[in-house]
Amino acid sequence: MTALFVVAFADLRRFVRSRSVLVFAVLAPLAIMGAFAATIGSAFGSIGVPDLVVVEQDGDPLLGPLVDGLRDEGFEVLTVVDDPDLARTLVEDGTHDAALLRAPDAASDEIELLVLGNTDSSAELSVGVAEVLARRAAAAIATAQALDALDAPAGTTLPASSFVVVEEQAPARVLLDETYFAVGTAGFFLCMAAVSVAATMHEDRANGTLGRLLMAPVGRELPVLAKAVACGVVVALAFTTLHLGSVVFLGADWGPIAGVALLGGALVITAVGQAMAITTVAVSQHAAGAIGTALNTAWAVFGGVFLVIPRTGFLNTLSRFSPFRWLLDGVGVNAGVGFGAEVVVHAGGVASFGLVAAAVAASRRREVRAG
Amino acid sequence: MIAISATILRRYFRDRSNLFFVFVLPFVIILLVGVSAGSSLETEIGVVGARTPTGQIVLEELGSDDLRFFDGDAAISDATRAVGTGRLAGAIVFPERLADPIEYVRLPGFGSDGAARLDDAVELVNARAGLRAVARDLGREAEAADVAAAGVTMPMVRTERIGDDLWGGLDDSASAALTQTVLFTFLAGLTASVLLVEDRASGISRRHLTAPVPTWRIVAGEIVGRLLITTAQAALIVVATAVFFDVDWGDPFATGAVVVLFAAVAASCSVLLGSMVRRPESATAIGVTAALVLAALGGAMAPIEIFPPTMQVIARFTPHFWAIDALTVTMAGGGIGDVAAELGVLLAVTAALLGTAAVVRRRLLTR
Repeated sequence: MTALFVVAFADLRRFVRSRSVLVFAVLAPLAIMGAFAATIGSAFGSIGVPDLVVVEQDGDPLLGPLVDGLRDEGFEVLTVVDDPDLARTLVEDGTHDAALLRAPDAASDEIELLVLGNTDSSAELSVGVAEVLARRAAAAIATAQALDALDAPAGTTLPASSFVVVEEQAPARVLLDETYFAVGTAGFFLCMAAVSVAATMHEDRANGTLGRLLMAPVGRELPVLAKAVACGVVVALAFTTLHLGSVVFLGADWGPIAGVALLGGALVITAVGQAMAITTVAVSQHAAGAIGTALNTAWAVFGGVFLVIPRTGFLNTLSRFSPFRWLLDGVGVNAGVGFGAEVVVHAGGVASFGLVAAAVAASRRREVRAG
Repeated sequence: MIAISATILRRYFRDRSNLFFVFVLPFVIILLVGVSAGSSLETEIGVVGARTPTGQIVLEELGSDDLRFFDGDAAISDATRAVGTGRLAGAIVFPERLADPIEYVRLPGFGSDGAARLDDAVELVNARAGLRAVARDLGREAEAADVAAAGVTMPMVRTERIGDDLWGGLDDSASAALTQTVLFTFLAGLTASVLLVEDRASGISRRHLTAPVPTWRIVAGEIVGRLLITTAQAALIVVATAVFFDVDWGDPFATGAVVVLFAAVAASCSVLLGSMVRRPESATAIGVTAALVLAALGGAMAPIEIFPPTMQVIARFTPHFWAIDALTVTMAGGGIGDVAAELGVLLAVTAALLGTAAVVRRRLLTR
């Protein structure tokens, strides 16, 4: 056991000297999270107060009362214009998020409202509010027309609604915001980094280090195990930086720390397991890198790291064969409903890939030769 | 030069892992693009309590399209869980008692269409019930009340999105094909820089110098060999997505020019990185990080339209931005003239990187 840690420590010292640890565990994770924070980070945090333009032309029985009602309710950002083209321009250039107007092409006896919404994601709230207001305004005018048809006296109102809808928020078991990209990219980067660290075994073979180790009175599996330990330390450090970086820069929510630690541990097992399997199968450092890139990119694309995978259908089933999907779901459950048995199951899902890979590496440990 | 390029290619393809890298991995991307073309976010809504009095009344207006019904003791928790995991857009829970509210369960930011659909149906039911009550109070015939109630219809509300379309207005499969091609081409190019570091360590690069050819030809041969590999990978994705999944890449000359120039940028970066670092693991670390960071900054991971204004300016300093911009134009039907500016920028970036890579590599070989 002592020999194992001595060799692993020597390996780590070499990584520190060559600044690989600094790059893998600190600089690269911070650069990735910094780039995410600078680009997509603001897109998720920019939903503010609804910002509407209402087109009210003189004497409009539909939109006039709506504008009055909105002002009475103290609606904060509301601009009233009388020109539909001006409203379109204000939304198109992003000055306002959404506009509400009568559909210009509707027949004169039809009640049709048009909501113009800016394509920017930060306009979603205003577009949603405008749609609700439009539907209610149109329903109100339709009801008023029906009351007229009944010859109801002026001022007649409908009795209080029989049915009421209330909205409830489902406990999220999936990641919905910037945390999704942080977690997925963290998994991908760690697995790629692990392959790169583990594949230095081929360099050890070329410079004679492996030969000297194999001549020592230790088990033949020692070089593989020591490399796995060193690789695990680097990957665990990188995971910690990625986690902290995503929390600080992106405001990502990974959930309770116990779940993060368990899922992080499972990810380290998988990263190290697949890296050792690839290293023992590959014939050179470059070959290990090529196989590692191919495997991890495949896992990343099917696991939903770069594109969000639908939750039903073939792609959903296929994504189960990627540890990154288990990781994303595990962090989703941890952040949404807290640490519990479900997180443990997902951590098991992540680690199972590493354990299978570790079994492959173990079966090939005696194939490790000096040259 | 051709001989050295051919040697590099021969050595590269002799290693079976590289065959996997060049030919299998692009098909993983291609398959993802193809499958994602036929998939979309969930629109189905769960319904709990369809047989309750409230459920029966409201469902008459709501219809049954895109509804999934849940029964049994665990119906509410099953439906809520399906919403929470994204398998349903939302869930309607009808109460047992008429006086209790109807619940609509959804994740924040999702299922708004389902909420609107339920709101419309409930408004309609309420309006009709209210009109009947008013008619009764006014002593009107039941028939007149029904006629008035039938006159209330679903309000007509249309939504139109205007402004800069995400990914230039391309559909999901086209934007996926475009961004994954750009992201993968650059990632594959940079991670392959390990081979150059290994060549130097193993003395292969020095043995090239013993050949009776000028150093610049050796460097050019290395760059051309790498360029051919990177271009082949990118071209494979473009051609296969077009043939198998009907992704319309537009004008083949314009698309081809963009793909080749972007592959050249990736190949130049690969040679530069492979010449600048001493250790293979450093090449991988820097390569993967640079590929992910540049992809994020350049708009290959999220549409540039959602970036803050400052980041939209910074994005222009990445080759990814210009490649995505050009391919968006060609996919929308633009020709080579429409992407001349983007091609010019990519050409300038390639020339600058190639020049730097050649100088650094030459200095390294002759040192």
